[in-house]
Amino acid sequence: MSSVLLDILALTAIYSIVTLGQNVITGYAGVFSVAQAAIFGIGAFTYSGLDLLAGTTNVFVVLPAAAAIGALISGLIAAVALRVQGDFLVVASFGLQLVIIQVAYNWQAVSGGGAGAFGLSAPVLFGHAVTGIPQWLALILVIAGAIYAITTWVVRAPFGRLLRAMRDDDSAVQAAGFDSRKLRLSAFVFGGSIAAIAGALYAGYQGVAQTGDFGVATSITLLAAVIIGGSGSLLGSILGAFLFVGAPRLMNLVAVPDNLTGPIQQLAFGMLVIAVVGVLPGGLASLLNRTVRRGSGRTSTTVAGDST
Amino acid sequence: MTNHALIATGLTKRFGGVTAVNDVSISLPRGQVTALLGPNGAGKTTVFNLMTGRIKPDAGGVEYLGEDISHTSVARRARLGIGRTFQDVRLFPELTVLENAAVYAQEPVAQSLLRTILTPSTLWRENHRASTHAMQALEYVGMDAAKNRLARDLSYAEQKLVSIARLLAMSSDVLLLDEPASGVDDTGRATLTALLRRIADSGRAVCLVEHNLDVVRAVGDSVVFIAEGRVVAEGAPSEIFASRALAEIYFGTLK
Repeated sequence: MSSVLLDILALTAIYSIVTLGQNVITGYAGVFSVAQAAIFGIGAFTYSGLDLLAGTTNVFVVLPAAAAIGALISGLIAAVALRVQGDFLVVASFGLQLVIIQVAYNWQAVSGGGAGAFGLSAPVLFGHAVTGIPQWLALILVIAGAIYAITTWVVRAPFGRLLRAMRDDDSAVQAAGFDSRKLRLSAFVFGGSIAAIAGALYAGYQGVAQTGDFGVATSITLLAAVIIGGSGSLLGSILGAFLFVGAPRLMNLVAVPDNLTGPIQQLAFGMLVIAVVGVLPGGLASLLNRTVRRGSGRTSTTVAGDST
Repeated sequence: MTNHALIATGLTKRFGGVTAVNDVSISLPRGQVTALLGPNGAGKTTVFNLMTGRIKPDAGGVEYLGEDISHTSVARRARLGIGRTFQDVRLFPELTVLENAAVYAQEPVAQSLLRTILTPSTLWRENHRASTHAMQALEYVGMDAAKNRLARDLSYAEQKLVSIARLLAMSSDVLLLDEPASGVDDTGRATLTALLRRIADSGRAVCLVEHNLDVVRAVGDSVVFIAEGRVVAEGAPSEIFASRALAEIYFGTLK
């Protein structure tokens, strides 16, 4: 495979991790937060900060540090944003997203300000620097695979069942003896910690950490990736990340005159998004199990007296 | 010997200038079905909300097994053994019937993210235990055959049975049931009254808010009649139903 395709694969894998985190927060816990890109960025700046200020890019230092700081900040976002609900929560998380990126922007020693922190060192694994796309891809895929496995367990465990129940009816979860506020906070902590791990991988892989990559547009893209991919489907998050990150880059490879590439890409992409939203309310993931669910229907059908 | 599981004393709740619940005292004995009866807007559901801690009283308190629980949260009271259903049922529509009951069967460890990640084997066992427990509760109410159906695909009567199964899965000692028979047909009602009798006979305290007088007559051991936020009469169903004055309050002035 050409290095361009490997690069697309690596970036898709990184964004898949962030999208998985957003899916736990939005698709499972039912919270429409648009601050996930800021946490992704915090992971990247943890990497640049440790490299530039502490002189280490040891994988066993930077990734746990990113996970811990990401979990902490995401928990703080939740503690603030979850004081309000619905539309207000969206706006509150949006505000926090802006604040976090502005703080990072001004902390020039870590973020490099507007220009970004350039020329970051490669990560070190067991004393060897990870360089070259094949090595990178192996590292990213192993970590993304491990995170996918952990996330699968978390959403299928009793914890995940509580998140889905809470998304359906908050008061009935409290009546079952659970603290729904704590559950939502936990979803943010989990989603944030894996997003920050992805951010550290991203900064190490690109050798750059700049605030422009982690703005509001990225947050909205992540939310869209969850919804288009399939809210509450982990496989859907990977499809969503591919659609928003991998597919546009693949389209760049198609031989079209340069002055047409941009408009065609945007047009095709926009139409695809609208088509998915219109035709597949369950997202791309619903294509996969469509045959299974076809018979069940979406209306609440009554089966007359077969159980009473 | 009185054997009251839950005792509410002098509960009072004002919303703005309106006193929705005014000095209401109710004791729920084990092994009995107590029916809260009264016209719409009398404050019956508010009494449930005060008992479960969903709203805080302006005066009065709640005791459970002799312990003052007036200042504990909804979740804590549920853990202690006070279960309630909702007038609008509130199953989790996108979860299966078994999952609906399993959520209520789960121990507090289920909500720990840290334990879920660090001790997966404990949570694996907890999952199995909760599912087994949930299945038993579904068998008890006769909904075990529907375990894999989504709650949103159930009929209204079926949803009501599952909402009761959830409380049994939680091992509730006191069951506060908000209009369990509304919207249920005759066959469903017969099943329901038999089920409520069986639950009470197993030693639990059952309390109903119910508008269907046939259900109250069939299964109620005692009736607490509430009007305009006050308890106006208490007694056996036959006594309450014999009172012309109460009938006038309930049905409006009779000609």
